[in-house]
Order: sequence, then C-alpha cells, then structure tokens
Amino acid sequence: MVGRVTIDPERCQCMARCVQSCPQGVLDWDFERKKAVVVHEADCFVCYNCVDVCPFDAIAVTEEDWKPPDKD
Amino acid sequence: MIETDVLVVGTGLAGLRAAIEARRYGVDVLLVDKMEPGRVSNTAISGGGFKHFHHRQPSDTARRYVTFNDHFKHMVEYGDFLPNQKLAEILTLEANPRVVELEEFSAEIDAHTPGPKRGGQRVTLPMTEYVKEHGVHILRDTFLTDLVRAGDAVAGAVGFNVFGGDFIVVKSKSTVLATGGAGEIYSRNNTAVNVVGDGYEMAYNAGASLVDMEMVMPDAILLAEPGLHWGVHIGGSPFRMRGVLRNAAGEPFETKYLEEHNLVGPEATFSLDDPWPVRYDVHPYDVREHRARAMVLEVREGRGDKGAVLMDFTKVPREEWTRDQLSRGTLQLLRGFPIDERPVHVLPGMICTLGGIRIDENGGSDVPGLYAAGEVTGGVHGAGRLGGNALSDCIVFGARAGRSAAIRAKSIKMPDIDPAQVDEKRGRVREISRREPSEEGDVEAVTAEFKSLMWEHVGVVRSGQDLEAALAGIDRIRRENLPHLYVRNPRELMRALELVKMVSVGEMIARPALMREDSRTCHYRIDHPERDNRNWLKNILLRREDGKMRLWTEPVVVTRIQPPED
Repeated sequence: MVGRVTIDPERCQCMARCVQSCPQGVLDWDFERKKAVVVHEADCFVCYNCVDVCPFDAIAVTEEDWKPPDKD
Repeated sequence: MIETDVLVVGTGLAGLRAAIEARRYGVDVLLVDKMEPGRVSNTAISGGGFKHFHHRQPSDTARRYVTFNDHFKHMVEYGDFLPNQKLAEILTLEANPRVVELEEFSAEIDAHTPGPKRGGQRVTLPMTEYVKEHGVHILRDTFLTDLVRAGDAVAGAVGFNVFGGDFIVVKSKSTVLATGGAGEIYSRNNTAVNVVGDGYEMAYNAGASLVDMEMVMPDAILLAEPGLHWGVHIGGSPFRMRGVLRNAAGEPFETKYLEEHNLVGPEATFSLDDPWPVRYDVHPYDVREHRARAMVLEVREGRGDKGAVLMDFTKVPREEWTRDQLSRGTLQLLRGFPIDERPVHVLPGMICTLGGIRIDENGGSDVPGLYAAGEVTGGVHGAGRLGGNALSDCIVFGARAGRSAAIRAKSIKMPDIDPAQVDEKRGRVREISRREPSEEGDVEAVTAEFKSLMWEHVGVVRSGQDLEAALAGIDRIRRENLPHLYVRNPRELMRALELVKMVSVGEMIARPALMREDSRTCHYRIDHPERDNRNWLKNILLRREDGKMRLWTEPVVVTRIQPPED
C-alpha cells in the first residue's frame, strides 16, 4: 500500500498543521507562498494524520496499491 | 521568557504520562513539542502493545501468560544480563497498574494495530486531550535546542519556533526529557521522522551520564522492495508462521545462524513448508536480532538479491493473514505487494535505541533538576528489549519522573538563569541563519550521507574496523560539513540543528560500540562474536568532561538473577 497525497492550494490557509503532524516527513512548508507542499510522497504510510488535523479540508490522501518501479 | 514549575519535553507516551503525574501535584506544567502534540512519536506510530504481568499478548499463539516473575526473568535474560535489575524490577511490578490506569485517560489499551489507524495513537491522542483538560499548558512547533543551567542544576531550556523563528527561553524548576530515541540516525529505520536523539545531546551537553549507548535494536522483517522508500514492518501471524527467508540462490539460510545461538530445537512445531527451526519455548519476537544479523551477513557475503534477502510468503495460507488484528493490519499495509506471487525483498531496519540518559529509580539523572523517561533513558532494557516493554517503560518511568519533578518544583524557588548563557546559545543559532549557501553545507545531502554511514558501519553487524571508519567519517563530517550548513528558513534551521545533534549522537553510539569487545543481543561484533561475561559483564557509560567524551565502565546492578559466569 502506498499513499497519494494531494493538497488543494486554494483551500490551504497557512496553518501548517499537516506538515507538523506527518511522522514520515512527506510534507514541507513553502515559506514564500505560505502553503503546505508534498515533498516525499513515496514515504507516505497512509496514517491520515494530515487529513485529520486540517481545519479546511485542503488535503486528501488515498490508499493505492504499490506498483513496482518501471525498469530502466 | 516563559516560566513554569515543570517543563516536559516531548509528547510521546513518556512525556504525556510525566505531565499528567506532575500536574496531579498541583504544579504548573508546560509540555513542549517540536511537532503536532500526540501525533508524531515512536509511540504514536507503534502498534500500541504493552507488556505487563497477568497479560496475554493478543497475537501470541503459545498463549503464554506473563507473570511478574516471568516478565522479570525474561527481561533480564533477553537483555543479556545488562539491564539494571533495580529498574527492571520496578518496570515489571508497576507495569500492570499503570496500564490499567490508562483507561482513566480514555486511552485504548492493546489496540495492537500496525495498520493505517495505528494503535499507538489510540493511546497518545486521548492522553493529549486529557492533559489539555487538566490544565497542562502545551507549546507546539517549538524546537528546544539546549538545556540551560543555574549553578549545578538544570533550570530550563532554549529553542525557537520552527515557523516564526522566534527565540524562546523557558525557565523551569525541574525539567523532564522525554524526547525519544535516535532511530532516525540510521538510513534504514522504522521510527518517526523527528526521533533524532535531541534528548541525548541536550543531556550530554548539560553534563549528564549516558549508559549502554551502543545498544540499538533492529527489527528483522521490513519490506525492502527496490524503489520502496519506507520499511513496511511485517508482524503478526505471518511473522510467526514465517514466510521462509532465502538468499538469492533460493537457499534457506537462517537455521545455521540460529544454531550457533542454541535457538534451534527438535520439537519445533510451527510447520508449513520448512519447519520453524526455533525452540518452542522461545518466542518468535525474541529471535529478531538473530534473524536481522543473519540477513545482513548473508547480504554482506554476497548472497543477497539487490542488496536484500528474499522472504517467501507464497505458502502462508490466507487465513493466517487474517487470524488477528496485527496480521490483518500487516496485510493491509502489504496491499499491492506481490506476496502471493513471488518472494519479496526484505531487510532489517532500526526500531529503537536502548541506551540513553542514566536514571535512578525516580527518573532522576546525574544532574540536579534534570529528569528523563521513555526511550531517551538507558539501563532499563540492557542489551535487548522485549516487544511491548517500550510502552510499559514509558508509563512506569514517565509517572515516576513526573512525580519527582513535581516534588522538586514544590521544594525550591525559581532559579535565575545567567543571561550570558542564553545569549551564547542564541548567537549560535543566529550564526547558522546567516551563512551563505555552499555545496558542502547542503543539510539534506549531508544528512543522507551521515545516515548511510551509520547504517553501513554502526548497524546490525559491527567490527572494530567498521567502527573506526565510522568515527573517522563522523569526524570528517564534523570538520568539513557541519561548519558550513546553511538554512533559508526556520524549518531548515531545525533540520540543520537536528543534523548537528545526530552527528554527536552517532559518536555516542560508535565509541562504546568500539569499546565493547563482545557480542550481546543487540550488539554484534563480528570480530568478537561471543558473549564474554568474564570481561564485559558491565555497562559502558559516557559523559562530557572538559569538552571531551569520557567513557568508563561500571558493574551491572544485580538484585535477584545472578548472571552466568561466561
């Protein structure tokens, strides 16, 4: 299982609570735009912490089947 | 400047429990976390299992009841006779009442789920609500970097807000460190992202002694498919019924390693395809270090596949995967991985550090005013920790440290901090913020390099040569990279200061590992593979003296179980 994390920048209202609740360091904070950004999506283990803490419903996580990386 | 009677650092289980206990004495309690309270800690991402007597592990097919005596004996033997038996007795005696008491905080006990809704959070989140309701102040997003002293005693801490960057000074009568371990300093780990050993470095710089730092515990079976970034932990029934571990040539390799440690028994009955080789009276979780070692050695000797070994679950019947909660959670995590079709790649990873701040029975360190609880402490588990004992440790010693901190706070006046000390720490933080970008100062790149160095040279299998190479690498990073780390915002500043702490903790692990010339549960020296009780039945301690690390040994504290002679 892997996670797909999407942030709606319109709804993201600079609280950074999702960034601070991620135990895997998937999210980071863009200091210029004052928005949360996804930086290490592959590390997501789908705990839904970010979804639980966001007061604006700006972040969504979906569970997806893991797929092997494409062969080079 | 903020003033409080008791300062508790960290909102994992130990920190929350300490805050609750201190608050019961009517003192002001401030709980500080660098992230979202209650959500990011090793407790929060754990399955949430406690070991305590009169308790049956929910996933235990052997249905072995743990009595007080069993628990104590098991703990001392698994810790290879290094645990401080006074502390181990306290843990085994108090774990049961402390676990029962958790219901008062609405915590869900023994949820035991590794899946998406992690069992550990069902304990920490209700407790976070509980502490808020009971008047504990919480300061979030605050990274405390250093302890400050007033005379001999610790009198608070300094740090900054990780978004605004504001410098924060907290003055306290007593301070409880509950910052967790340092699993994150290894490139392969299964710990929360913030568990980088802050507390070890803070306590070390404040002059406290640390014990058993060489003991770092691996978990054996973490998925390591190429391209997968995190180690999916495989636990529960399939772990017990064991998918068969094979090397690249398809040969099962575990038995020969387990035989060396007298762990193989003829009465083995856990049988599917190959017989489970481990003695029936040995719990499968108790051999995970041996399995981890076997896997790493197999890869090192060139018999691995893509840097990992293979685990074959194809013969494990589907009902095993759904037998209990832990197995069902594991199956959910494994969604999409081809476990039914082919053997999958697995490799161990670090799950916790066993050493740490030396504490007395009441959670007090060597330094007045400084208390510690949970993974940041050392000596309780010795060389190996039983599954479920981590969380029991947190509540037993969390409560004790919270109580001692409150009693001290009630008996002394608010100390005065020397402003020069605060200015010096503030100056150091400001200096990093002003550096120019450079190639050698890229925090993310240096962190990755350092973590790989630790995993390769101070990991599951160690040797004198490896450890010396690690120390040389640490020294090089310290000279060539650390002075150039540059940051663009307060979050990067936190990462940079975390890296400085991680490097320092790396040295605290590598030095005693080089000193200890024998092998015990979690410390395996390939050049000294046997346990040597004649020379090494002792704990290694370390402390900062005159700016240098001094190591020394002390005899193990023995109360009821006499260690064997060799």
